[in-house]
Amino acid sequence: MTSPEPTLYRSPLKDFLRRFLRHRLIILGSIIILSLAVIALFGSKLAPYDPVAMNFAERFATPSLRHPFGTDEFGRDVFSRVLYGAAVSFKVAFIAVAISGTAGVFLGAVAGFFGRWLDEVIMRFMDILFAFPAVLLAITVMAILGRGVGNAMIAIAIVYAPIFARVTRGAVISVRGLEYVTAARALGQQDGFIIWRHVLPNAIGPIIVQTSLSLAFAILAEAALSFFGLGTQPPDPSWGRMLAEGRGFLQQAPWMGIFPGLAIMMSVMGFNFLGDGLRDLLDPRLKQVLSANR
Amino acid sequence: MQNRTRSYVTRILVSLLLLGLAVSGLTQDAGVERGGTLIAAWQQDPVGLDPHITSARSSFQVLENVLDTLLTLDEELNVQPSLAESWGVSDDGLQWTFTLREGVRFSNGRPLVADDVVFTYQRMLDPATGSGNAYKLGGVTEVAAPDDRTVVMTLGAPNPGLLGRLATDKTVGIIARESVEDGTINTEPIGTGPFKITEFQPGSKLVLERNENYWREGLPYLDAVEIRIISDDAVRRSALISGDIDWAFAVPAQSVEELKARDDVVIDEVPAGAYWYIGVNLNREPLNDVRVRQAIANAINRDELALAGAFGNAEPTQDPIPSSNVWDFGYAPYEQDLDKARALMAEAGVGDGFEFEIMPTSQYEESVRIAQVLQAQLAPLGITTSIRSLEWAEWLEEEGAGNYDTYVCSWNVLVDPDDFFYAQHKTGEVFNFTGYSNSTVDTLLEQGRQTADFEERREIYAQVNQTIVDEAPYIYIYNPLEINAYRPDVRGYQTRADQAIRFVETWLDR
Amino acid sequence: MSSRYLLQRLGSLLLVLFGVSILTFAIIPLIPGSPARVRLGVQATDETVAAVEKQLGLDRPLTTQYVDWLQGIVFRGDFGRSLINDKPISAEIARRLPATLVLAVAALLVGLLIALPAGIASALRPGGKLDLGVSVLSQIGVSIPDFWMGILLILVFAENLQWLPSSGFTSLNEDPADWLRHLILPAVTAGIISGSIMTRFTRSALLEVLHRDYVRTARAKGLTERVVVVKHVLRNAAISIATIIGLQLATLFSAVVVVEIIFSWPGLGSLALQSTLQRDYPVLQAAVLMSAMAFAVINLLTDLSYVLLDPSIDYA
Repeated sequence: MTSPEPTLYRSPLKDFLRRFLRHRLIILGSIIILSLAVIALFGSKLAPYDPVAMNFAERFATPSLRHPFGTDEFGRDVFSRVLYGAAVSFKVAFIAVAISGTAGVFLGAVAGFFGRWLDEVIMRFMDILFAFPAVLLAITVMAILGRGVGNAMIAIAIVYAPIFARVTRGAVISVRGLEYVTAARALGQQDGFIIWRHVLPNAIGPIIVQTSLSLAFAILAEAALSFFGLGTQPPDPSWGRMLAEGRGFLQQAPWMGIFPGLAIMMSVMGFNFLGDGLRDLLDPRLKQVLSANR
Repeated sequence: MQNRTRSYVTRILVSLLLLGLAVSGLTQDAGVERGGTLIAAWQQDPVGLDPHITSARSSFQVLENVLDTLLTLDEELNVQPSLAESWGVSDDGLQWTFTLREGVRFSNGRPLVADDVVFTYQRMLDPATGSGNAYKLGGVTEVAAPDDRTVVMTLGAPNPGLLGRLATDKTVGIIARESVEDGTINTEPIGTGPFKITEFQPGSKLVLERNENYWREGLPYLDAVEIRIISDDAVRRSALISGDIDWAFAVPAQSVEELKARDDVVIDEVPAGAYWYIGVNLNREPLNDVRVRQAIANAINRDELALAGAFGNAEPTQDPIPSSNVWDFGYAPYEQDLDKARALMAEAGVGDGFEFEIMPTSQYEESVRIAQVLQAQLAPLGITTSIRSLEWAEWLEEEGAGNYDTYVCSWNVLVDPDDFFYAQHKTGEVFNFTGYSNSTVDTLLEQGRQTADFEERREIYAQVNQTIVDEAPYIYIYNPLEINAYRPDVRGYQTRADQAIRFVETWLDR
Repeated sequence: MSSRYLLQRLGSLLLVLFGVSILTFAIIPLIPGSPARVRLGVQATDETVAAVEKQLGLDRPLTTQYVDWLQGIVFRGDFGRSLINDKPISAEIARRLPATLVLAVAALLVGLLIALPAGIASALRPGGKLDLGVSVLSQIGVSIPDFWMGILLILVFAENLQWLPSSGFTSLNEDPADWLRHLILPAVTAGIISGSIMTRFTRSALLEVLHRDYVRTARAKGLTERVVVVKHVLRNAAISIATIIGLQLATLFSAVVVVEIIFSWPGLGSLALQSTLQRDYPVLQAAVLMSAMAFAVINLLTDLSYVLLDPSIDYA
């Protein structure tokens, strides 16, 4: 996935405007993510009801002061479930991206830094994983490992690892030949040390951006897995599961799906705003490198 | 309300008196319109169409319209002649003789002969076939055809229930040997039924066309039935309302109430010969203690379970046979009583509570909903449960291997009391997944099979029923309704208590 | 472009496909459950499972199964038969591959219909109200899960307005008009998401070009804005937009699986899912292999078109 590197010329004014807009995105994105993160951390304390407590006298209650987001088919409070679900959805997203980021960055850095056969082997394997239809790969992994939040994280991580590997490899190759790396080598420093100390810090921009975008994808991936009945196990709420279950109740109780859906939308937007903003701020040329993600 | 004349055993006796009298299938109204294609929706793809191998309802509901059995059940579940027009049994009850109807042809035009029956049943009984349905032949050990119209079945032990067995579903339908020989048995089995399979696109659709050789004159009314696979509940509902489909199997339970209020959809429901239950692994502590199981049975609220599991389209029950069935016993020793449950737990030495796992399957969302309610209902007793919801293939394996504490599932297409108890609870039976073993029950189950007198049989099964409910290897939850939904211009269709879907007399008023 | 480059790319494509086939074969039997058990259902016993497995040839060693399978494909183009319904797999693939391709292409077209006008409009006035509106809408488009979007569209256009069928498929030869009617909702469902992604890429691709020297020169020469945009900006942005299109098509090819399931669209994705659930190994292998192949071929074509579009890139 090599791309041409467009040279950039900008008018200072437009550039300023652009950056301002982008900064605005970063600010907006950060606000959204931070507020959702607060909910994820303290949602259990804020929730007015036990998220799994059933109340058969109040099934399918419309949103009201008692139940701001209404209740579901078991009379559970949707508002409390959305608050609890934040923790589950964020946990899945962050851990999945942490796993795939660590694995992908490691493999990509090794491939990019050492090149030659190691590069070939690693990247061909990544190609094979990448060529697997993403949804199927995740489902197959879940089928083997068994369902549940933990395995959903692993499945999502496996799907996104090749992207991290590619992004990292590209970034590493672009700094590999730079003088300070050559100099460090000449000084006889260990390869691992060089990668850690000199190469990765200079290639970190694309990785950070990819992380933010992957978090958005991971939130959606959890929803997709829930659609297939994988992912979070009942009765624990996750946004994806609530949304997937809510689709069967659009007539009786549209609020069952709408509110978790809005929560998903907010968080995806937040991570995307953040990612887009960071991308521009850190290095405009990254766009091309990153266009290879799905 | 018991209506003894509806018992099929009684009917068998009546039928025996009517030997030789063929029942004509002609029940034509004057206003029937012929022709047209009915678009039906299934939720699940048929899992192959070989009646000896598959056990999927999605498959048998197709075969219901393609194959015929020697005998059949009418809407009231009485045994009626079908391919066999008369039958009799030897004095020792070990030899049954069936006389085949004349002039019956397979959909490929070849006349049906007794050899086809022999071929079908021998294939079913052959261990190399690996048929999981062979037990449905009710103990038949040998099948022979002395002439083209006579079939003789030999049993190891008397079984008056055999006639019911041979009528109850299409596992025992008669197939043409051609489809086995040319390898199409699993995709396009040939039968003598009202329709023949002309197109099968797995995962998308299956087309049934009118069998021009069908033996019931003037039937079927429809030219064709196109079965579409629409897996998503919400989409199937929309498809019915928008008129994309005419008829739906497996109506989303949560939509039934809403659909009933519409005048462009007909909801056709009857109590089904089916039950949802909790299967308990009797080899696991502390569930092996009967008091613990009784505590659970006392702790649960079946009304809530029916509301959550089937959205109220079910009748809560404590024993398996639905109240609409002549064999209903209405035995109900449990009521939601947490104090009683606590006392039983204390007696069993687990007064402070215990932990176990509930295994539902994502194949049936209903089971997952039931599991969640169970979890909530047991929590106040200090019983901590975890839910392990598995997809079907894995669930089957875990159930078969006994790797579970409790599971949630249903039994379907049950008519005779033998159907409700024998395979499930007799010692060592392959479907006795709980590991239940009680020699008294075993003896009674065998007696039940060999008893023809209704009162006598009723005594036997009342005892079985009470013992099983008391010892609770199965904790019964509810009897579901069988529900089909269709457009108002679909006529001549009737939802049946035996859950069979038959389009033979269905027509389109348009 | 040298033929060496082409050969090299083809070689690595084959290598990847070979890898995919081995990986699928190796991991699929790790999934708990067996096709024999699925066929037999609740009534499976160890004996009947063994009998059916023998009939299906599953009692042979895995390597033998793999070699037989590969030989069938390479020498006869035959993927074998389904373990569940005995249908020949090659025919199944021949029916479903085009369906997925049609859906992916149609979704891409819908996406482009959204992305090109929206992307161009917002790039011309970056920071303006329109830009902001497009940006928010495209974010919303990306963040709605496809199954949800599909159900909503069905509710509105099939159930309430009754303009379009709720689900299903008609073949093109049978009835072209009906084929199109069935295609619209699934294509729009997948297309909205894809269009939202492409809008963002189109916008930034155009912005980059708009800042280049020759555009400024063209403007300085007094050319009308229309001429500048059409002659200089769009033409130069075409290369990066083409890349995005290729990538989106490849992505769509596997991403439409959820849409296929919602709309009962007979594509490769729904086949693969169904066969996973039923443990129908050879069908799953065939579906995965064909998906991977399509994905790799589209990627290759994208890269090649890229080389053709921009002769300044040298891959010799």
